[in-house]
Amino acid sequence: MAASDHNFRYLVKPGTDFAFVSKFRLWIAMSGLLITISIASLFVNKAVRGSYLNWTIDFKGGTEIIYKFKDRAKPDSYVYADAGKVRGALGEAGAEGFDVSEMTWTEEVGDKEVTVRGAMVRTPRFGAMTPAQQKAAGDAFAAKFADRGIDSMQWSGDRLFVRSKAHITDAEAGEVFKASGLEIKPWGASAALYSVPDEGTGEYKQTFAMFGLDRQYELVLEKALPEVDVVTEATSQVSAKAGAELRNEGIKALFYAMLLITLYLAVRFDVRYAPGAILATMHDAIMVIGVFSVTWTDVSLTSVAALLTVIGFSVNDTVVIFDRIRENQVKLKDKRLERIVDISLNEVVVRSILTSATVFAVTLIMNVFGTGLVRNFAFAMNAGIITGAYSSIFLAPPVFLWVSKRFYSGPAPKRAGAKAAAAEA
Amino acid sequence: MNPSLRNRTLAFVTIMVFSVLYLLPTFVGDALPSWYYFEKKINLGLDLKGGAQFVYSIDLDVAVDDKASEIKRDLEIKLGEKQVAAAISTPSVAPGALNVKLTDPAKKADVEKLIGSDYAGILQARPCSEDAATTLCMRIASSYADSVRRGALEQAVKTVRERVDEDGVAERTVIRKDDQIIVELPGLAEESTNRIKELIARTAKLEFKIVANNNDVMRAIFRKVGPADSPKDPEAIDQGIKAYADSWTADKSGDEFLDYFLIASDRDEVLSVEEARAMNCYDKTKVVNNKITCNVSGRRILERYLAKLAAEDPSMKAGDDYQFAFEYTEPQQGSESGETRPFWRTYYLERAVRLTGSAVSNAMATWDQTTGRPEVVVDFNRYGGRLFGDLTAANVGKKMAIILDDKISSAPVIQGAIRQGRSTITVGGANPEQQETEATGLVNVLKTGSLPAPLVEKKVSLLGPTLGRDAVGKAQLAFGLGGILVMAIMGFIYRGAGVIAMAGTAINILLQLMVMAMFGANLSLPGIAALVLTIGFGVDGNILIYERIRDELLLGKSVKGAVDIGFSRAFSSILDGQLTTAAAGWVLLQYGSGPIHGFAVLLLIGIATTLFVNVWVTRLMFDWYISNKKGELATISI
Repeated sequence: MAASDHNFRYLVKPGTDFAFVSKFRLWIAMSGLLITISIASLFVNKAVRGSYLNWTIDFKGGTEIIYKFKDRAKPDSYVYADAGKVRGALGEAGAEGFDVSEMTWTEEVGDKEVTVRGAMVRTPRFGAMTPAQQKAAGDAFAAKFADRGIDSMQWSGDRLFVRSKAHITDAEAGEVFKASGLEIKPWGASAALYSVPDEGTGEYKQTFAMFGLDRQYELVLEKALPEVDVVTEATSQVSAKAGAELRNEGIKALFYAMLLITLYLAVRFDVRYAPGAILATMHDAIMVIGVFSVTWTDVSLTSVAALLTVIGFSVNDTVVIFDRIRENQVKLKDKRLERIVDISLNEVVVRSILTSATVFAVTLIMNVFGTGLVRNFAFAMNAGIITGAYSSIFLAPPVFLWVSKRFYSGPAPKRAGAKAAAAEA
Repeated sequence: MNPSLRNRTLAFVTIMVFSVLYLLPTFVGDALPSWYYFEKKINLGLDLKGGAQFVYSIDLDVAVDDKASEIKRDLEIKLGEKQVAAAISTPSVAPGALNVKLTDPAKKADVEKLIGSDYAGILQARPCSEDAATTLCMRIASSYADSVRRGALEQAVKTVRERVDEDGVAERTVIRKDDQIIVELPGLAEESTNRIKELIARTAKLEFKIVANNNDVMRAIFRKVGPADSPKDPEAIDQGIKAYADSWTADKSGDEFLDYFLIASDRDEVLSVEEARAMNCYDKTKVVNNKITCNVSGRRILERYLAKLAAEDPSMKAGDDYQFAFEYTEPQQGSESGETRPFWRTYYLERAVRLTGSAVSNAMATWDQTTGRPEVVVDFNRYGGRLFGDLTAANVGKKMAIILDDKISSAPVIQGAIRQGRSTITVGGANPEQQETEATGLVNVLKTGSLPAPLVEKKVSLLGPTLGRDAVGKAQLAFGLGGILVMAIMGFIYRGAGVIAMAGTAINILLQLMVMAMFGANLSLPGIAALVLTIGFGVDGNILIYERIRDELLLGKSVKGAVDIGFSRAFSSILDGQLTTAAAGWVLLQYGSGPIHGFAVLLLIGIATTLFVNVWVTRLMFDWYISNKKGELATISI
């Protein structure tokens, strides 16, 4: 049967013979440069912006503000504000890295129980005040109330925690803060909770809160939603969803995963293949982190999921290429290893491009049409798929070649060959 | 159709029908009739569907008091070594207060010096009304108390997190908010939510104490109440309180032991509104003539009665080093007391805590060999095991009370020294099902450790999707478009075989969802990431197979031969790629928690179904495609 009977559509015409191996030095140099840039950008971020990556509230904690929306026309009733509108309004005002979700609770208004549908905003910022503002206001406070025996004084976001021998009333403190251009937030009914005399020593433990982030966002929302009166229900500092614990566990998990991959490749293939796969995987992880670092994109738990996906994708891609090299090593015994690698890469490059392009297309659509975390995930995937495809072709094979030449100058080991031959039979 | 193909087709149809039936509850929900056999559903995570948020407050002063008690024990040893006679107490006037009352005022300077050097920054002086010549009044220093509180709160958050994880809830959120703890759970069934809430709020404070036998106080109370067959005190009779005596002989020594106790069952009482409020049973709708009928627990009845006796007659007051404790008992058939209703009984204990839950290294649920009732076996760590051994050796013949959250769970007689470092705890519950739930819950809380103080639920709210309702909608649109795009690419390049690949992808998703429903897994954004990845793998597998088939066709092989070789050649690549990823996924499953865990679960499920679809389902479809044509095929649409 003649080959011409078949009518295939091709992405890349068969019979291509790209010379991959001869340019390996260039590819490796490029990878090295990009990795250096990625790692360097982390330190640049640390120096310029104060942290290695743009951690979201998932990792560093922040402020949680709960708003409810009163109808201006009917002051006793609440209206429902769409989380999308709230997100849109805050986003336009330049807020970054925040989450908005709807929240429903019941409240006693007079004798009736009313269902309130509010919104919960979680932002990685701890307060609206700058360190300079905090210091100025703190100094003025300390100078004014020196006679009250202040033991300790500490800002946490927009709140000042004070421990003093004598009581300082909100009204007194308000005067001082007003002079520094700040407005103190009255505690209202729960005032007793924030001004606690200690039975044992007679010391006072007090908290003064300023109108800060909550007020800022409240104004933004009122501007965007003119028909409602936005009321701040509660503001509080929240801890990270995933602290150091998860980070450490993650690093440990990554280490053991690499170990297991090495072991698997050593048993199924040959130890020579393992360093290339591991290096390619690490390269992809570093590159994705680098893209997040350079573009200063939010790093959330979802980004971690994306990173894991990229790693999974890259390992799979690399193993498929290695599988072809292994097969050709048996089939083309007379050829030099460089040539075998070149032939293998030419054989699988179409499949690599096609697979990567397909997944890339899907995640690109998610990037364009999605919002918030979905977009964040898709962005990481876009970057990861490009680097994953690149590293599988241009990084893993040269490392394999180098390890082979440096440590094994003989022909392919018998075991791998025997296995492949058995598979053939 | 040849027999092999027929059998495979039959198997395929069976699997498809089963999957669809299995997934019906997830998609149709409550519309299904009650006789419908399958009921497992896929739960959507907090990010996609929302759930409930619970805000808990925790009394952190308890942690400061506990610290003071720890310092007290520590100081007692230190003063004992220096042979300074002193009584150390932790009065409840202020959190972390500590008084040291010396017998010899001359030693005061020495003790002050010792405290100044060993507890600098930890203890500070406190003004008090005690005699300044003999008594040192102190309290935990403010800044140190703050750090104790902070540490306790962190510990509580960690413990709650571990408990929720241990229960297998994926994608939960446990965070600290000011001095409170927020727990967010995805929209689970009410039953599971309640179970988890119970687990979370449980203090799980485990204590071992010794029961004081042959004691005068209990004897006096027994005389006052009178034995159950000839009751004396009209008030006790009125409240349904009965007195019993339990006597036993130690197996080895032959010593006689006698333990008097009171019992009382729950009952309804008519209370004033104020009393009802104080007892937490106030309900506006149930008030009649300013009175309200409340169910009063037997424990409360006993506590009230004992307090009254103590106030009337000092000989019936519990001594300083003793305390009353209570056990809830479900009556068993033919028990000697003849009680038919569940009741509470008193124990008179030595106040000193002999061993706590911190000495527990592991816990597991087993069954009592003789009664078949579930019980929990706790293993002590080395230190705890030694302490437990010494404790049991020194108290042979006495009863040891095992107290969980302020309630005696059992008080067995110590038959001999127990040196294996393990003890068993019997569980409560009226029926075997409840007992088993209780046992698993107990294992969870004992393993994860106790909370520094009880949690109090402050607020419950419903949460919308944390991803945002609008974002979920847009994500669905994006997935739909992405799916169409993949189909377009595959259809364009591989034509007929591309359609097979599309069908395979759809079947793959169906199977993945079915397995997820089987495991009761949660679907959330990380899970969807894994789904996207495995669909990518599936498409990749198809491409690998198709490219091989094309190669073989170009080499001039027959269609049937090319398909055969294409599948078998591509198989090793597919298997190796998938298994390498599965290895990494398996590690993530062990180490990760929360989102990483969710990702790993779906990744492993996805890899399994993708392999199955690639090598079995797609192959079957190719065989249909080839066998439908008569005669030898010249080429196929690939």
